[in-house]
Amino acid sequence: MKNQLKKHGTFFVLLLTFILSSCEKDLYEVPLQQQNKKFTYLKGKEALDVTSLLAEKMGVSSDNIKNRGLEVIDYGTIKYDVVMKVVDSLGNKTFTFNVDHSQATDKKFYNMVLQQKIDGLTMVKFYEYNMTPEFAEKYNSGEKKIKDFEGTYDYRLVSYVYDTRDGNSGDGEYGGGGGSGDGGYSGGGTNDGNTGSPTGGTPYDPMSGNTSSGVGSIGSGGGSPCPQGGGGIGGGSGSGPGSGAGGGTGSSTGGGSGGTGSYSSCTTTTITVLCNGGDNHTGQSSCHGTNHGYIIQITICSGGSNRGVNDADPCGSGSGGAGGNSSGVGILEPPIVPPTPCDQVKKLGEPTKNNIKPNVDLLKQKVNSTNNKKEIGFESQKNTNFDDTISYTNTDVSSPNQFNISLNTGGPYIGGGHSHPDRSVPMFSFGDLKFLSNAYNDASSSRKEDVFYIVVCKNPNTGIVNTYCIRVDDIAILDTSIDSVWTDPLYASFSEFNTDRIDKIHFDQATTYSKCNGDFEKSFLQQFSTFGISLFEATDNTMTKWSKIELDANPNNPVIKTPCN
Amino acid sequence: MKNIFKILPILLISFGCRAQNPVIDLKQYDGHSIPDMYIKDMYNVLDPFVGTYLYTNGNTSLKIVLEKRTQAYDGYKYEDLLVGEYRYVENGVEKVNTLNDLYNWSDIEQVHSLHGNFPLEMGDYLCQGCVANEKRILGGFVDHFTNNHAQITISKTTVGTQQAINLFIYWQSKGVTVGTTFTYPYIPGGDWVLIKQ
Repeated sequence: MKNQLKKHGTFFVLLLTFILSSCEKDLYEVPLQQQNKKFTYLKGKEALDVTSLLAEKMGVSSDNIKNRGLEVIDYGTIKYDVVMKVVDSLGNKTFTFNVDHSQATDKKFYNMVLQQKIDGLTMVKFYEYNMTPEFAEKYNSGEKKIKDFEGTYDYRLVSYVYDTRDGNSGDGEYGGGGGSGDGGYSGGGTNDGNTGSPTGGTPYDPMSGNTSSGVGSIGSGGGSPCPQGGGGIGGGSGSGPGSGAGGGTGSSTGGGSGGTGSYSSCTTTTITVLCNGGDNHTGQSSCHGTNHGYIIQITICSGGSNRGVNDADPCGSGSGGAGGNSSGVGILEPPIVPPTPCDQVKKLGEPTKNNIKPNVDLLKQKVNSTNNKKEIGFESQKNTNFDDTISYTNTDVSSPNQFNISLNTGGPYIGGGHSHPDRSVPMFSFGDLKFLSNAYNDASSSRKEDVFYIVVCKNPNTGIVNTYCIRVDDIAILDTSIDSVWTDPLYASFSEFNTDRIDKIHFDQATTYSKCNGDFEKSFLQQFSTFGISLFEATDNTMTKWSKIELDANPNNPVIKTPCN
Repeated sequence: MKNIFKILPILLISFGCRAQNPVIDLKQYDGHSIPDMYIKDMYNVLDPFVGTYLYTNGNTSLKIVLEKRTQAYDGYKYEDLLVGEYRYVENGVEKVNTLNDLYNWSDIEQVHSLHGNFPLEMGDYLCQGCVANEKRILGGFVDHFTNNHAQITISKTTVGTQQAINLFIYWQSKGVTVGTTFTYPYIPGGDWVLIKQ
């Protein structure tokens, strides 16, 4: 007994040392697909099965598995429509689940990760990924894939489950060779059975491989030459405790009926580490919600004819593997979140993006001049360079002799801006909406989200120079709305093929504006807020700070201006 | 006699219906129309602008003739309005002359080159610099040759002792598909002072 205690005590200390060293190592894991790893996507029953396993390892009832996913308080809904499986060359497996989380944004997403190591350790980790703004923009516009992830990530430990029975359950990708081996004499045991055939294995079953003591893949040929026993192709090899079970499925040729090996005793210890002002494991300052500690559960078995990791194992651990990194954690890409109009308008002033400030400054100079009798403008292009980088160019447009200007649509063009002279309406016109529609429809698919149109004008009542921007929210609504005005019987007698009709529409619009008591923003929205567009106002000179302007539900109230944070 | 009693109610109802069509003053128009409404120049604010006007500067000249049309129907509503045509000579070369269109016109009156009827007055946002009792007319200018259009305001002024108008032309920008040719209008925008002839 004393010896047994000594043995268990020593083993427990070694085990904790191992866990802690594992923790340290995991902090530096690189959660990206790496070489020497195989990754596949599980769907349907396979995905559901591994979700059940995840629930078990998280200590959550499988009743929480609903149609949408595994619902866990504080973690959201862990989806299983697609589960990414990564197997490294040693046979360590990682399953990655997408998570519907309340704090997910267009730049932040979450994965739940179930890691199964060949030594019997199972960990569940909750990963938080924060994309760089640049990467988020490109990812959400489809220009980059998640494999090119740029940003930071962090994770918190949800559970450690160490169970010697799970160890090396022959869970290499190819499942060990026991299946068609000559069978064993009896389950388990170091001398069981003859050499199995490594080709006899079947593709790994995520459920049976881990939870059923390695039926069909365990300890194939556990008897004599160990390397062939558990090795198979995918590694996994003969180090696991379930080595005796191989014979059970190897009866086809050898008739062995060894069955599953047994342990004489197993001890399970559960330790709950509560969050106490910070995540104890990762060192994060936040507990990420209520009581987010983690669970350590250790099950140690001894005796019988099976081997634990510390048993003397002539084959050693990992003998079948080809090396490689055991830390591969797949990233399951989040759904693409298209940038909001607010996101898009904020980048207009960024020097590394649209960089329209110099052009808008020129429009402001014109509007503030004493000779503001014509429009000037600028047109913007979005260009894809030879190295696939994106650049924006803005070109000032002016005209001689107080003439008007023209702004291009189509090709690389994504809109632009213009000024309004004195004695004109200090707000967008119907024609401006038509231009926006044309710019959007003429733009290539990768440019549509960039399309914008700006007007710089001076409010004659306040003397304030305003910069407004309109963007498309719904092009179908915009086109339909424009068409409903264009084809209104009111204008049927005005030729649509020359400018008579737009001239008449603008005249009516000018008279409408004339009745607005100087509240041009409200008047514009009263006319066009249902046209599938958004109206923004620049709130500083950098052109990076904007407010979205909307009508209040009460028509008697002023417009609502919501800053784009 | 019997027939008169039968027909009279029908006639009264007919006239009654006609009378129900709203008649509003020019200044009341807010850009929204209903069928067969009549936008009437109740205070004759358009009349002082009627006439022939001429701008000259060396070999460059602009002649404009403005007339008033009443109850002009545009297919939807009736209105009183100023209409005008013009002749523009630049450096001795006649660029455009539409003056004959004023009298040989088969289209609706509203699509003459110059047209307008909305009176602006002090306090209106488009009437910057207006003084008390001053009236300006808001309208449009269409260059049918180049497919450009402008917002215009016409105000009364004097040059010395001569009556004149100030015509402000604001050509509106256009969007054009890449590769499409854009043509400037014939007459430059800005302020034009034309003396009444």
